[in-house]
Amino acid sequence: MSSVGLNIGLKALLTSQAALDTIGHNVANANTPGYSRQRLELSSDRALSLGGVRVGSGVRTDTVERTFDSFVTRRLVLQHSTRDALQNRLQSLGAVEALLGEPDGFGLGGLMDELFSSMTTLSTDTEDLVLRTSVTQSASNLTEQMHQLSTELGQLREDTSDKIRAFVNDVNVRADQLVELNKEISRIEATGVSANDLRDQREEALRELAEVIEISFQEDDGGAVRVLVDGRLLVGPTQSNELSAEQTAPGEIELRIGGSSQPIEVSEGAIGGLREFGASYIPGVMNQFDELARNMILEFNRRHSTGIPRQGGFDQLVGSNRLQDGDQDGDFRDELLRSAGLPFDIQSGRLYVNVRSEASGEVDTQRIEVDPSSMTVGDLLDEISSIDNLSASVDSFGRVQIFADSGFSFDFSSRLDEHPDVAGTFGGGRASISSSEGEPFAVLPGDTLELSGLLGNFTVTFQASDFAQPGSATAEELAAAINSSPDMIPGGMRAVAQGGQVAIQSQLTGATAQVEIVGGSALGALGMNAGVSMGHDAAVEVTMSGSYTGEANDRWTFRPNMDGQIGTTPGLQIEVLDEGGIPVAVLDVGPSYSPGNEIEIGEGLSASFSFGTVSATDGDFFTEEVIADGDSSDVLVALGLNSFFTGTDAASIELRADISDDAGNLALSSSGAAGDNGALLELIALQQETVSGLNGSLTEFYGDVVGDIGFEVSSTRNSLEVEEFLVGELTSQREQVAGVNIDEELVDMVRFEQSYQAAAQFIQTVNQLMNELMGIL
Amino acid sequence: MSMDTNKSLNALLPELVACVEDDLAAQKRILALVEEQLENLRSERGRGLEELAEGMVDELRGAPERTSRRDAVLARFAAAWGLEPKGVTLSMVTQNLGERAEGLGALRAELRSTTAEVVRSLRKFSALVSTRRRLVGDVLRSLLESEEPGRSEDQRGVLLDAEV
Repeated sequence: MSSVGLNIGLKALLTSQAALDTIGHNVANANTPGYSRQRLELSSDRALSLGGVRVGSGVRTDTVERTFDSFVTRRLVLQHSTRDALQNRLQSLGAVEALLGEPDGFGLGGLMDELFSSMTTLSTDTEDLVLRTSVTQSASNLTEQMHQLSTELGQLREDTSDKIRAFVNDVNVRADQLVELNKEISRIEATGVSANDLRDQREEALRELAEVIEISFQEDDGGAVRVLVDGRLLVGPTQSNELSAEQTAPGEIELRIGGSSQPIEVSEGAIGGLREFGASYIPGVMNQFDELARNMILEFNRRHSTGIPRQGGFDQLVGSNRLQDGDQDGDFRDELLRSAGLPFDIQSGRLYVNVRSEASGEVDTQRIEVDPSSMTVGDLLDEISSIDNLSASVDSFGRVQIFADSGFSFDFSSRLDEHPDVAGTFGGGRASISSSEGEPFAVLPGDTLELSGLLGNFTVTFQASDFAQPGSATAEELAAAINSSPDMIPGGMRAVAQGGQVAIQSQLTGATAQVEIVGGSALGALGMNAGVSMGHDAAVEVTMSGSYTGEANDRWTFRPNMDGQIGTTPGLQIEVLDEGGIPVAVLDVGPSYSPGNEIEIGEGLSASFSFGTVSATDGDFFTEEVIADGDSSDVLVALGLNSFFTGTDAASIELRADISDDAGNLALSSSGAAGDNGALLELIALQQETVSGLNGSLTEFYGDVVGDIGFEVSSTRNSLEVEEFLVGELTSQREQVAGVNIDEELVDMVRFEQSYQAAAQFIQTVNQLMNELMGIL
Repeated sequence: MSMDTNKSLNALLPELVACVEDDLAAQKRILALVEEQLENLRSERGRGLEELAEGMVDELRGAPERTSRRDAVLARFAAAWGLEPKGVTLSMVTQNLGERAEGLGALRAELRSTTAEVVRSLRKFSALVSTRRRLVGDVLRSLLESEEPGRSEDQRGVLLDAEV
């Protein structure tokens, strides 16, 4: 607190004191002329009535005392209610705290640490099966503890409901006792005799009832008390209305009185405390653990789904999450991805699919643009199936399954394509003319491309059926349309699509190979010029190396700035452009470059080029997908493909069964290269990373949950201590009432009210001081 | 840490100890006053609260000066360690200075327990004050509401507020 703040507090306190003095003065000089808006005074000519008894002059002190006593009793009954709500809450909170097993280290926190620690140990040798098994064991221990917590919290909620039902029976028994006491007191006092002993018994019974349920009560003229719960009559002069309890949902109990259709609300007493605990507190804690489990599943799976297991890529994968047939037409394929009933959201993003030939080791990387609001399940499956040597479908359970052809494997990793120019569009052996721009191409139905082949000139005419969206053609569509011309193969030509661009090439390689574009109306849209290109005896071989360290997925395009020979032609450079056409690097491959040497590009990557000829005129190029995240759409997580955990919450989280059975299935590599543990390092980093859904790391979130429960226990304990103190004080005060001079007492009350205000101000000021002091300890 | 920094912190330590001793003494006085207030409220139902409040005002008058003196010393520790002026706690000082700050560590522990005791007493005092206020409110409300029917609101008595 600043000194300014303290001075304000003091000023307020002094103001209150000034007010107190004025009040004291007013009261002392009031001479009881009557009440006014300005001050509380006692009327001399028109005495106040208190419970029908006149006070101020010649009052019947004994009756007033009893009235005063009734207020203390009423307050005492309320304090009993509050105290018992707190007692029950504290007891229940203690049970939750015990479930967590903290801070003894046997709880979830210790098991989370153990999992990350076992992964860190595994990072020293990811091939070691013993270390891998240690990770799967730690993960299983963690999920087991999650299940136990979820089950026991659910059981605690059930126990709470059982306790409430037992207390409801107790209320009905006590209500009947009060009715009997009412009848007896009314009967005796009707004869003019005060039933003091029975009144004491009734007061005790009221206190006991208030301990169980929040009540209000008042005595009628006949001496009977009417007890109300939430404004409804529970106890009348001659009969009671039954309190009933009905469970409407786990942990939620509705209370009704006398068969009323309207449920009642109580917040104090044992029942009030338990109801709040069962219907609100425990579900809140359960939700927090479910959130923790859900985010753990999401984040572990995000990192693991793009990893590669010990034995390399997959020959098949089946998702663990089931699609929902929302429109009930018996076909999962027509569901939009965003409404396919998957347990995790799919974002707009990219999925990279790598297909590796086991024979050649060559990897073909394809990317799929995922848009959950326009892409159906069928679209996604078709996109995957359109990749050479892969097929995707939905099984009868609604799970997506992907198969690789024999001799091929696949993965979704951020692995680097080390030989990106398989098509030979960058100084390859074939004659090649490429488009200068990438897709989409504004080619329309009827547009033509005139080529000159081995058998003479021919024309390719594009049809509407060649494109999904005429005027916005993809490179794949164009290549397929051109290749479908019956003159292409006899003419010794082919069209290839690579990295969103299209090239017309000769089928033969070598210096005698030739390809010629004569003309056509599609040239402009294709970004091609009419001309002749010759093949090369010495093809340029491109090799990429390193690990991409950039933060975003991108596609880099490599183009020569002129025609020339690698390592020979002065001024020959290769420009590297990102997907937006922004230069990433310029590689000098002129006379100072020794062909075959690595040149650093940046972002962790290098490239090397063998000797050969490249041509800017022919549009030579190649592309490299640089991948930071193999699945920025979370579609793998949503489908449960190559997941680490399965399930959606604390009750259902499990280590994926085939990982549990064989720790070799842990997908810890991000490239498939020997010794690579990129995916594992990403999993380990998760321990410190902020998880967006939790506003902190997993361990911080758990720490907050435990801390909140601990704080709740501590503050409930403090409140209970105060309530017990107050119950004692009020009990003692009730016993002191006898012998009070009521006139003096009433005047004092006014004066005390001001003193209490001063005290409240003082408390606030000292509290500020205490907070500040605590802050520097 | 450089020798010069060490030297200057050694010189600062007694100043900080003096500040904490002052704080501790003040906390003990506040505790005594709160206990007295509490006892007074319990036994006399509020009589004498005004006199006690005056004592508390005197006590609180000294707080701003104590606070700013202590903050200034801690700010110098913060500057020596390259931290924000408000970023230093007594716990950090005792840990960083090790054996040299043993005395300060003991004072800190005593200050901590005394402050906790003040908070505890204050909590009870606060609860009792508000219960008493509610009780007085109940009685006075009953008095006002039980005036004979037909008397208009502005003819009835109401509690004077602090507008005076």
